[in-house]
Amino acid sequence: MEPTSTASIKTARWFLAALLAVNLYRAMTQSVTPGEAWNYDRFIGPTWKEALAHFDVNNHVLNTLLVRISTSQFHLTELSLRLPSLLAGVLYLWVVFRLARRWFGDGPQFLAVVGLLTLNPVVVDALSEARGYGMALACWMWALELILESVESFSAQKLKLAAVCLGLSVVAALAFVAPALALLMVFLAWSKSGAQARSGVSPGRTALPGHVFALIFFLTAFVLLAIPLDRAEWNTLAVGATSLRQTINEITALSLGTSLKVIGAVARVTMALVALAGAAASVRYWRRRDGALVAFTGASLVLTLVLLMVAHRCLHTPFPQEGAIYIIPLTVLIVTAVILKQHNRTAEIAFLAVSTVLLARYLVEFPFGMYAAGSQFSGARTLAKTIRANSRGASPRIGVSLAAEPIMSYYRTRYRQLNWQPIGRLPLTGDYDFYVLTPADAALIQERHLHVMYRDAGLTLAR
Amino acid sequence: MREVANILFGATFTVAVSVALGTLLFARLRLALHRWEATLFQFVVGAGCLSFLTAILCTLHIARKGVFQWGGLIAIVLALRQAKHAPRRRSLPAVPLTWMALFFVIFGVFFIYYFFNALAPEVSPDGAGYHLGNVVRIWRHHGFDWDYPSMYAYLSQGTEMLFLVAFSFGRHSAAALVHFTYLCALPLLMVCWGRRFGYPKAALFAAVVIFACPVVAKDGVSAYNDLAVVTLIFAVFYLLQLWDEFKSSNLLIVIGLLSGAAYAAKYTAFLTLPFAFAWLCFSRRHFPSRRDLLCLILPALVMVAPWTLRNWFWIGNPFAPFFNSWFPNPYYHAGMERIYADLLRHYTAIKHYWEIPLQLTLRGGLVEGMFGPVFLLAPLGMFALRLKCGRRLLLAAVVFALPAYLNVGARFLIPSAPFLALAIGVGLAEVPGALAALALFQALACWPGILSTYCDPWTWRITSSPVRAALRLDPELPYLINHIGDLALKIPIELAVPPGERIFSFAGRPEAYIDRDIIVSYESTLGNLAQDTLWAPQGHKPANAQRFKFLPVTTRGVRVVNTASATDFWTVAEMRLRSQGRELPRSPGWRLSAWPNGWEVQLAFDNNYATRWSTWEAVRPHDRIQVEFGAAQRVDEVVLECDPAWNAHLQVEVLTDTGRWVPLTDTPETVKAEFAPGMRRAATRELRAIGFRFLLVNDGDMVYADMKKYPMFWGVTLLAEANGTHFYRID
Repeated sequence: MEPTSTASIKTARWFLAALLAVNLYRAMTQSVTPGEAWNYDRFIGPTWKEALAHFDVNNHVLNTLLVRISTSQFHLTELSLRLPSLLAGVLYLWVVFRLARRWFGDGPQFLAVVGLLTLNPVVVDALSEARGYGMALACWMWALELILESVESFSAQKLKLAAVCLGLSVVAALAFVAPALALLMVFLAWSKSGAQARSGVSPGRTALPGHVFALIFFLTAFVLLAIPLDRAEWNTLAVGATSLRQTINEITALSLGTSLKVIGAVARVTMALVALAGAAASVRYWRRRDGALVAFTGASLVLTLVLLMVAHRCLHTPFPQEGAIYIIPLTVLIVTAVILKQHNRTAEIAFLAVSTVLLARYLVEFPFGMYAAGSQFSGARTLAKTIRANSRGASPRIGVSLAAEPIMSYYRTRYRQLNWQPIGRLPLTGDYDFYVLTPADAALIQERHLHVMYRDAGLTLAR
Repeated sequence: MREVANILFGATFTVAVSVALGTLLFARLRLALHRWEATLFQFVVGAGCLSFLTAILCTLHIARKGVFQWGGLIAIVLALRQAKHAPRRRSLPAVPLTWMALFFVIFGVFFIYYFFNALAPEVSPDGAGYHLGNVVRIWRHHGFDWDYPSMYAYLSQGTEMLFLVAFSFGRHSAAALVHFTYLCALPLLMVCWGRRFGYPKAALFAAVVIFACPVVAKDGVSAYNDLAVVTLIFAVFYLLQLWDEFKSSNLLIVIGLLSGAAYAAKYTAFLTLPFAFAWLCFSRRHFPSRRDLLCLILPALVMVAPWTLRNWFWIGNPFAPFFNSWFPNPYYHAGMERIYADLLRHYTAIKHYWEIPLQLTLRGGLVEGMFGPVFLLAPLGMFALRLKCGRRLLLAAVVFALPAYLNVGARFLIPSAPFLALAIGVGLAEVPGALAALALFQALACWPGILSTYCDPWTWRITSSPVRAALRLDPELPYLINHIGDLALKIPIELAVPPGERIFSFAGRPEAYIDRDIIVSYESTLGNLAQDTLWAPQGHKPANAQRFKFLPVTTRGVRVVNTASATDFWTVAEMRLRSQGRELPRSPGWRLSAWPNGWEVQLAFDNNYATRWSTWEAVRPHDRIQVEFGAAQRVDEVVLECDPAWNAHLQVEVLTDTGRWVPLTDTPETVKAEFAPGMRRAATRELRAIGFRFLLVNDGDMVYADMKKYPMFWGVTLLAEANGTHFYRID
């Protein structure tokens, strides 16, 4: 990758910098989402002993560890909570830029790939929300980039780092077990098949044996997961979508901001076609050094889907929901790489056209405000401040709808309002000084003749 | 501080004498060892020799401080003279400095933490119980106490002999420090092994993993013997590999000596000698020569002899307290041995087999200790199978894990752990950075403060470093009482119980700190008898009478024989013979016998319902209780007053003039019997009769509630109570 600076590269750099600035702004200003609050209340805020006494899929271990460090170094704020994700977001943007530059040169295709990989609302949310998905995605993408780099300019060091990144992606989100294993298996197959030698690696150079790569991957995950996973129970792990159809529908809906059935159907068909095309392309380009991106991403996508289905059938594991974020870059990379490999002008124009439409849609849906996972709780911070202003040293009892409980518990800690009575997951049958209600419990306002102090689309504060 | 100085002197002196004896022996044997390994082997082998010599002194009842002091000084002076003339040894192959630095930083940090634990007053359950309990008793008698019946006193006590030497100068903590020396010697020996045989990184990794291991550390800082055992076993393994290179008979002598010393330290190391023997056979691919065999076996037998011979002459069972059914004796019931062994052999509260590895590595609560998360990677040790050395390590790991089948406590897997850790190290040696990362991970994950965040709260482990208690800046007794609740009764006991008198207790006590002999219910036949007697009023009143009626017969003997197999014990509180409705008066001329447990047959003929004869094991065919008269007697009924063993099938037999036993009936009539009141008093009187005037009873013991409610009926007076333990005198 020679150091050049064309207009498209400059544009991409400015675009990524702007995106980073938006991420930073959102991380600082937006209320916490239920997932963030849950993770904080159960695994970050408590002592290590309490946090390690149980485990559920919401505990994204790498994120938990890093947030513990960041919140212990700085005060607990939304920014310190999201700092690790924000940094992982920087890593992701950097990896996307490198990968796109390396494989798609510059020009409109390069810009389109950068845009498609970064502007998807699901991805944008993941790059600053204090969950493990963004981290996992950044680690997985970096592992892919390092493997692809080592295919070009062979480097054992890069492969070792790739293995570590792959392990970290699993630590960051267990949902990444399938794509990480898929990429590992593809690499193992690639290194065993002799494609390595044919792809230009000189035979005199020592290769990193496949089993060593696998062991580094496994040991990285083991060291960070062995202790937390000891207390995992199947019923708290087996949470997710019941079918692959549901997974694709949810990702599509979040990406395009619509849950139209026809869009979902198109997405499912497209996914099937992309998987098949990816499999075929990976076979075709398996032995070609310049086709490593197609080979690795194509085979990885198919293997990931196969692993998910086999695990679902044999172990009754659920399909991922938000964790299926890896489908977005995998699909984008396969489609782009396959089309651009054809050197067909019409196909390239069609690709650019579709990309433009998608990017336009992404821009329309661009989440400047609250994260999708907590859109109904955007007013939680204001609401908490209102309670703080109205309680003034008293010890109010706050009845909270079940869905909002983690968020209010978080803000109790965040604003150091320990004078508030502890907020539990209790039915709203008792008497409380304040009520924080979701629309599902709004009827209580009428029943108990409550005075509404604050109201938005998702939350109501009453007393 | 003087106390601390005494403790340190006691431990250092013992170690120094061990090294001195090792130096003298090695000078005779002319072994070509490198610098580090020579010193470590001198300690390990010398400690075996010191243990042997101390055992001889104990047998002769001349185990006194002066003897240790002057004998030790002579050995040290001779060794120093010897060392002066010895050529300088070569050092082991070099290891990368960063690796050594990493190892010594971790080792150093853990060493300091552990050291204060070892130096602190000894509070471990077995250490303050029987390990040092035996040492204190031997110290009091200047030799073995032949009158004290306890299964723990019959165990081989090789390590306790070293404790005795240290104890004579520095008391309890000095003994713990001697064991701590083994904890430090083992990882260093592993590092030497790695450097010599070309696996330095694997060995440094394994050494850190073992040294950081929670169960190894807790055991090592207590006055136990497991670390001595594992060090001896590892030394044997090390020397066997050396023998492969040099084929020196002198090495075989040391191997034999260490194998014997391992058995002398703990019975569970009995596989060491067969392992060494098998190694010899497979290494040469033919049966070893007579000379090699002699060099191996003779020293081993010498080291084993003091313990087997002592038990043979003392108890009548060379392997006491085990194999009692092969060597029946009146000191420990075979049935109780079986129950005890069965108890140790099974996991309790573990629901699935997959839970066991998690318990052994991450939780520890149900297996009495844990090894740390790195041992979850044990399957990766299979990668070592590619190498000859790896195969040997894995074989040793399997062989020395076998005794854990007999006792499922995590401690019993310690002998296998170094081999497994080395195998993991060898298997992962080619994965860049893995060993360093995993060693650091184990060190961090097993650091006491971190460990407490994820292991079971009640896991047996080091939880803090009691520096003030270790330096005796805080008084010792409150610290001890804080950790061992019933030690609060030490002063009342020593004031009330005259020296030489015994106390009965249902549960084990910190014998090492109480200057009186305590007979524990499950540790001997005497304890069993006392417990059974006290339980009689509530647990097993002989509320039934089994009447065997038959036509009058004139005979010289009557017996009741069991013909069925079942799991229950067969007990008889009283056996009465009747003729025409009247009981035959018991006569001194009667010859009473029983099988099994014939030593206690008298209990069925003592007219005391609080006592009973029992098989003390599951009933089997041919169990019997038998009376032979001096002259022929007319009998028409046999009555067994007892708590019936419903699954036993009993028949009455009589002795004919021809000397044959002829069955008469196997159909008893079982009737409810009414007994005169006063069972409680009868029980305590019986206890007085067998030498107990004092009792220690816990809140949870079966008799406590009744004894508390009716002390007058029992005839007991509460003298003191503390932390759930009650000290009674029988009036």
